[in-house]
Amino acid sequence: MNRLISSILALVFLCCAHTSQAQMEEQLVKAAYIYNFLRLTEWPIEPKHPFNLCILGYTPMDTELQLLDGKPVRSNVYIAISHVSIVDNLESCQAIYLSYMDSKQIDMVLRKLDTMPALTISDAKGVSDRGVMIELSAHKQRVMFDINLKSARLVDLNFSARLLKLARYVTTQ
Amino acid sequence: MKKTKQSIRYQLIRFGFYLTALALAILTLGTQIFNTYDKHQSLIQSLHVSADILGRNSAAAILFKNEPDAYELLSSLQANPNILQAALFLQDGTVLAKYAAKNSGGCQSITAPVDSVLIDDMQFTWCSVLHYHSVSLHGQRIGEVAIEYSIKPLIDEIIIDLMVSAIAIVITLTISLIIWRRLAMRITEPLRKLSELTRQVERSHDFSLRAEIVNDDEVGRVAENFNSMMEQLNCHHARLNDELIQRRCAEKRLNELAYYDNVTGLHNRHYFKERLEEIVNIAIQGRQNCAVLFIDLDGFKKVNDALGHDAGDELLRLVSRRLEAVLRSNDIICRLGGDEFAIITTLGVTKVQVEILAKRLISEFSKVYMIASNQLFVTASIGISLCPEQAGNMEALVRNADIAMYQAKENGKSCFSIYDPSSPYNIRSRISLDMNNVDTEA
Repeated sequence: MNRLISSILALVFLCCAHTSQAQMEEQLVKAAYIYNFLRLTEWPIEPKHPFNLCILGYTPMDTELQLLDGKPVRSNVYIAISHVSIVDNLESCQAIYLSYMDSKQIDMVLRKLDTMPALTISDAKGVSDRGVMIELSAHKQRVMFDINLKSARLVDLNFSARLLKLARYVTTQ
Repeated sequence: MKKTKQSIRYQLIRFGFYLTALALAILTLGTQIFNTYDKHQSLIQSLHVSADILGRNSAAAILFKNEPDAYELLSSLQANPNILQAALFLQDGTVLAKYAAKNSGGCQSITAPVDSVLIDDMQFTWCSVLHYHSVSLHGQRIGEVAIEYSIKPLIDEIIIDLMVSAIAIVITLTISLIIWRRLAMRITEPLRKLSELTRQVERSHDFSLRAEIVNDDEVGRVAENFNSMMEQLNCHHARLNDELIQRRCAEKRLNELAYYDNVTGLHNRHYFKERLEEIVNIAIQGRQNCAVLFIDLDGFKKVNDALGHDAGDELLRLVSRRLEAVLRSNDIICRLGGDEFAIITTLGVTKVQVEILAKRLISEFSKVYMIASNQLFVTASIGISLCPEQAGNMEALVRNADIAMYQAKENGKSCFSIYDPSSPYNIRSRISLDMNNVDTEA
């Protein structure tokens, strides 16, 4: 009996471990996608060093996002990762990642950002319709993204045409 | 310096042809080199642009490792049939997407550009050029694009250019040959005519010939100089001719002096001897008769003494005219000196004919002469000797005629006598003559 229990426990642990491994890989891909978004997005004023990639609160992707710290977005412009909260001044953020864990705060952040030219990225479901510029999602272990071009253009942000082509949905209205 | 046997015309044509060919060769070679270099540069530039556009468009596909999008991008290259192969590589060298044109496997194999030297390099082969181009985003290399471009159209264009050039060269050379031939003809034709003219002058010795002066160029001046030289030659020739005529006149005069008697205009003794020798030789060899008639005027000395030498000379001239009037044109009349005349009759004459002639002469001489209003009567004694009947050589013939003439005088003058060897007078006379000859020789 003990042996059976231990076997079940081991199986559950393995399953959990596998799931965790798959999640980690997905998060790594998402982080890479976020890095690519930064490289294929055009700001109204050319970004200067340091490029502040803000993370709202603490998220499951912190470790992966931390890997982007110091990576170049433009020549001689490197990413600086910083964690912010809803009460912080977000003016210094050129891009902000909103985790699905903080989906309730997303609308507040969006309101606060208002016309600030900050790229908003989130992996919460359906947030692109709410005003987040890029929404990441995973389907059958494949990472996809939707773009709300309208929100981006409101703050004079623009995306590479090839990026738009790679998006699953692009909202323009 | 080696002498050339080739004509100037041929040399001119050959020189012109080679010169044109050389100029065309240099021009064509230069044009072809420039064209080939230009096409090569255009190809490289076009390849750079294609690779750059493809790279820039592929940036997102490379970043997101999106194979369908990458393949779609590469598929757009089929619009250009000269692109044989293309590939997109990620930063780590793995292939994201590959494209190969239909019906063409490409000439070179596209491999991952592990060697950084290959980046932005052109690898040329005889059928294609392979170009690796790095894809960068904001100055950071994110991957590579490789394009293989066929150079067959380039080679085809160069071949067509060469063929067109070759045809142009052939046409130009043909035209240049025609032009050079005409030019050579224009230059050498007056020279040829001049040369022909000199040969004509040499053949015909006609110094009145002149060259035609077509142009006022070097050849024209040569023709002018030639004409001037011909003018001088002509003058010189005319002068020489004049001198020759004068000399001939002088010779004729000398001849007249040598062979003619200046009082009567008849032949003289010198001529008589020469001709008689010739005729006697012919007569002896041909067994044909000839005769010599010695005429001595009777009483001439009296006329000379009474009326003077001028009247004597005039009498001699009148006698001469009568002789000429009586004798045939082929009989030779000579004045031997003083009042002595001699006649050589032509070959084939008979004794009878000579006798008739002698009678006529006697008759003619007996007519009155009118000199300075004076009526004069002068007769003649004629001695005749025949050859070869009576003499075997000239000396004998002359002697016999002389003896006969003396006999005629002995016979009473105004008569003729034919030599008779059996006559006692003749023997005596002969001895007397021989004695005279001995005295003369002594």
